Amino acid sequence: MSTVAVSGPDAAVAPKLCAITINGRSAAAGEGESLVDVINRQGIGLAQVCYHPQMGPIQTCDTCLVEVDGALARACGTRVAAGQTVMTASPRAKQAQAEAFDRILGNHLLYCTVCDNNNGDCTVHNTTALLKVEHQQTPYRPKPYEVDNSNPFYRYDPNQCILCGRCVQACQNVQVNETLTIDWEDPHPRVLWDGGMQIAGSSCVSCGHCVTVCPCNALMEKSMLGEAGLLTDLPKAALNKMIDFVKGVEPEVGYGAILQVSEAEAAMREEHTRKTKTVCTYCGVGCSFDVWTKGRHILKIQPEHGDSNGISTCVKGKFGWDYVNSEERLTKPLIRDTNGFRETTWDEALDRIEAKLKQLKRDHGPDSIGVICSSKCTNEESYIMQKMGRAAIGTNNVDNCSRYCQSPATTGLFRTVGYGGDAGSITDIAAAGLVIIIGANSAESHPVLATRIKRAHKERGQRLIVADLRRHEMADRADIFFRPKPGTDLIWLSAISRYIIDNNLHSKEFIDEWVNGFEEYRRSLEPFTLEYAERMSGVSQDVLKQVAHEVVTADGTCICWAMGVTQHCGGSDTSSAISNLLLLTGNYKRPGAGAYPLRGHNNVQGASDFGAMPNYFPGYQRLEDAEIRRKFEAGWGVSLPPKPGLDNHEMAEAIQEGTLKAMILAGEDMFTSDSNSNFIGDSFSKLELFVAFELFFTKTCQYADIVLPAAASLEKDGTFTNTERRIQRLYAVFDPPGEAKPDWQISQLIANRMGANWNYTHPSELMHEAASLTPLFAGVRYERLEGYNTLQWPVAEDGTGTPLLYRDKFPFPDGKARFYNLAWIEPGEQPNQEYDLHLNNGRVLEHFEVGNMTYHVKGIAEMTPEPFVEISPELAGERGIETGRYLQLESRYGMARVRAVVSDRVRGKEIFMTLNTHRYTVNYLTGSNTDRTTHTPAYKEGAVRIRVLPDRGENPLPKANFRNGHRTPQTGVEVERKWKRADYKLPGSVGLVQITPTEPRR
Amino acid sequence: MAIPLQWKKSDEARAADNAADLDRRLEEARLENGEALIAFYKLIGALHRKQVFDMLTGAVSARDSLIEKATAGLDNPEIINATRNVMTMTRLLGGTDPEVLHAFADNLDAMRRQPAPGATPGLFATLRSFLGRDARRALVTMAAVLNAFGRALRVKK
Repeated sequence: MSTVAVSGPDAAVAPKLCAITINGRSAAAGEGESLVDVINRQGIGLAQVCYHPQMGPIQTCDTCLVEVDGALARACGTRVAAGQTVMTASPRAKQAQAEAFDRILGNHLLYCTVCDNNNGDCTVHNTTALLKVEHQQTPYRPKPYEVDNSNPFYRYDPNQCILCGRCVQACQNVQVNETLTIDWEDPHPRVLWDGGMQIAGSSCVSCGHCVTVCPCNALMEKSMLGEAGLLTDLPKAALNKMIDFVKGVEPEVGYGAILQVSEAEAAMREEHTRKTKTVCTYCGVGCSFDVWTKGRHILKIQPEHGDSNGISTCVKGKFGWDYVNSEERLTKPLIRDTNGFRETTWDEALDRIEAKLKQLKRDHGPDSIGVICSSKCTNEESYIMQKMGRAAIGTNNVDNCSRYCQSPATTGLFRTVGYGGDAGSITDIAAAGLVIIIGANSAESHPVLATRIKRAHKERGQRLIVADLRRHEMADRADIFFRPKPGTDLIWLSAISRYIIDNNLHSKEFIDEWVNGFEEYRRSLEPFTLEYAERMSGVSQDVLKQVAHEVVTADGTCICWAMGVTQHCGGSDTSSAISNLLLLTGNYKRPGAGAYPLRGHNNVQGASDFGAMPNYFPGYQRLEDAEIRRKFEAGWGVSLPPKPGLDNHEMAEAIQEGTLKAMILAGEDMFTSDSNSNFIGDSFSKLELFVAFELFFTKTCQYADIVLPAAASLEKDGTFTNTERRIQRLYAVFDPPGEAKPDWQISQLIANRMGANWNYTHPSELMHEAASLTPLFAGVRYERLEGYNTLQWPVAEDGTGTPLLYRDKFPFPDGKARFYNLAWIEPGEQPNQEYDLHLNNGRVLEHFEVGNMTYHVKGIAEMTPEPFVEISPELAGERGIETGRYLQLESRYGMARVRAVVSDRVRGKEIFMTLNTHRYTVNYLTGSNTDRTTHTPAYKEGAVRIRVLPDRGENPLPKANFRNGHRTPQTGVEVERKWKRADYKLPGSVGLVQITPTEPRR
Repeated sequence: MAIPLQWKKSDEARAADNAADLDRRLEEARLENGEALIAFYKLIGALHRKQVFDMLTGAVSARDSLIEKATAGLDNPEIINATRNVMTMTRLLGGTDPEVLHAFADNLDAMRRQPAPGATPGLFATLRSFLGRDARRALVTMAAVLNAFGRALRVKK
């Protein structure tokens, strides 16, 4: 497999320099790098249809043939060696390039002027122009296959497919979903899905990689068809006749003149096509890409330059944006009155809010009010909302919804290494010798990040260990997969640590120099023998030893974890145990190693970073530190309350106690997302004032007094911070609908009604203010974040970011990290005789969380219309459950009805219910136990019983759902099979018809 | 005590909102582009008086049908051949030195101004007229043209 250095997110370390000669001129190159990269760096126009710098050589198109030391060779497949002599434009090279491209045109009908892909970036069009092709010798031959429109998001036209294999390469080696192949042995090769000819029902996850990299219009986003071009919505019959006519007169006209017309049409499209950079609003990977729009119509998402993702996306990032144009979007404030909700003006809504907040503040004090920010809002919005709470209202009852997920991981890291963020970048995870994934379904929750692990595992044998209750995709791929009993991760992690110490395998030098508290830590591990761990966790001693040896022998270990660790009563402690193990084995302060809690939402990291927490100012500056508080008082011009406030879990309890009377909640369907929904709903109903900022009228809004319409991420400027601590800018694509406003403007309106007198006009002002008060982002400026530029905090005043933490020291007074001693405490709730099943729950790939946005995307809603519960075959057999059977799940807290899917992804009496919510949310079933330190709900410690209902429906996963498919893994496009075809000869070979590089006929 | 209440915007309310939003945007555009609008009104007034809009309205509403009719015969082999032949003729004319044709036309004019011969020339007189330098030059050129045409016919076969 290619080891050529590629640009983009997975760029390797630069190789040793040497000199070669290209077209008579000396050029510096790296030994072993791909020759085509060197040629491109020189600015030499060389055709290269199948080559993509972010995928490495594919070698199917042959258009990059050059002479290397006198012999014809593909520039993409040739590694640089010192002293090479390269000719890119010799008669022989040019003739071979022309012949190669002529063959490509035999597979592709050029009708650029009426093609939706004619946007200036079509590789086939541009190569026709580059090679000055006037006429083709190889006649176009359609293939005997129909166009496939079965996928809701994209279509495949085999008759336009040039068989470059970029899509296959992307699917096999970048996304590593391993769905696409080409049947090279067939008389009429084409791209296949799971070895067959229909996309729907295959294992295709609609990630969009194939469409993004397709160099022509064979694979196209459906949203582009009939919309992108000026003439492409003409009746099909008329279009075909126009195409036939142009083809007919082409011998006289030549492609040159025809391309002039198509380029004029492409230039005219610029008027109606807008391209705006944004950052994905969904998960914490932080993919960034250009959004192409025509008015409010989203033409396509075009990823390429994002530091976190390059050309990669998942189904949500690539195709999940229609929700912004849903008719269900809120466009005006809503007020509850005696007859229900009615639309109103902003003035009336704000009058009501002002009056009530002032009355409550006067009668019960500012701490009777709570503010909950959103991890989907921007950094600037979190900053101004927490400022609104503290400075305008006078309370530290400020929190954000990362409380539901990642606060324990942050705590675990604060305790041990001092920063509550990923140790490095996604490139470090890809470069590690070993990746351990604990309690995380990365392929569905962080798809693009998971692709880097899958690629490293497939291409260079990176070791992969997965510990999870459920056998998900990463578990299937793992070298070691084990299934600990629920709530026992701390035990087996600590047992491994003890085993490492007992066998003298720990990194003594590293510990001596960089870590405090080793002896106490060693003593604290006394109970954690391998026998104890085996008995409690169900993981065999042999496996634990194996894992230990993998860690100590790996060239860098990254541990990734998510809700399977954090959403437990001991989530903070287990996170600490993970960090302890990494410190013990020297897996910090170096590339390709460290702790990687996988942030769930697009701005989970940023919401906490920018101070939406009850006990921290922005940058995790402690609220109780008088000097820090004075700094913010000076910066904000107000006195600030000195005591930490309530987190969102405590706020719900305070409502019940009657001490919290008002809540302002931004961008969070707390009813369905918080645990114990019935308790939350009851708490909401007790509020005297409940204000929600929202895009849609969610279940939470049903309890509100006032609902304010908010802008989506495509409708505002700002920044998000992803799981790599990477701050990235997003730009407004279009205005919010109706009277909706960005959350930062709404916060300012409320703050000013409370006497603030703020006049921010743009989010950049908020960022600059936050940076001026926060050493962690001291050097963050919008100018430094222009376009695709990013910064990873800490950011020094001069703008230097920190891709890798702890390089110099740990952020403790003595510069050293700390072991944190732990004891295991039982989960807060476990199955018993009455509630005998363990309830696990989590996301599905295609929906985001409960689905408030993704259910408004037609294709996603069709793909997975309802939640479902996975039942093991053994449990299904015992209880008489079949796929499609309606079940009533009952817990101590509530009930939910959902259809079953019998699957061996779960085992025994462990069941798994998906988070996407229709009528019933899984949180009707979860209780109010929380992590002991952070109050993150223990969603993963639920016990239920099942009542099998008489009704049976269809499989809740429709036939077209990708989970019904079967992958066809192979090592890339397997071009060697093409070369073995009897009708294949290398272009430019002796004995073939010579094609003269074309000039217009005279 | 707030009980949960559902809410859904009615289609009528949505339509009214869309209309209000459009009104607002139209008003903003009107104020921003006032001078341009005044010039535009003058233009459309003139076009209207010439009944251009009636024709355009008809063309726009029948766009698809018009395009289908206009393209109906486009893939007809005769149309394609004729178009190609026109292009080829254009190429031929473009490749011909206009000075030659100009001089030829002048010579024809001069010839027409000469009185017509009284009797039909005899055989030897006719043959003698082919022996002149100018005639020989033209004959060779015509032979070359005939050869090129003959080669083209051979390729076609």
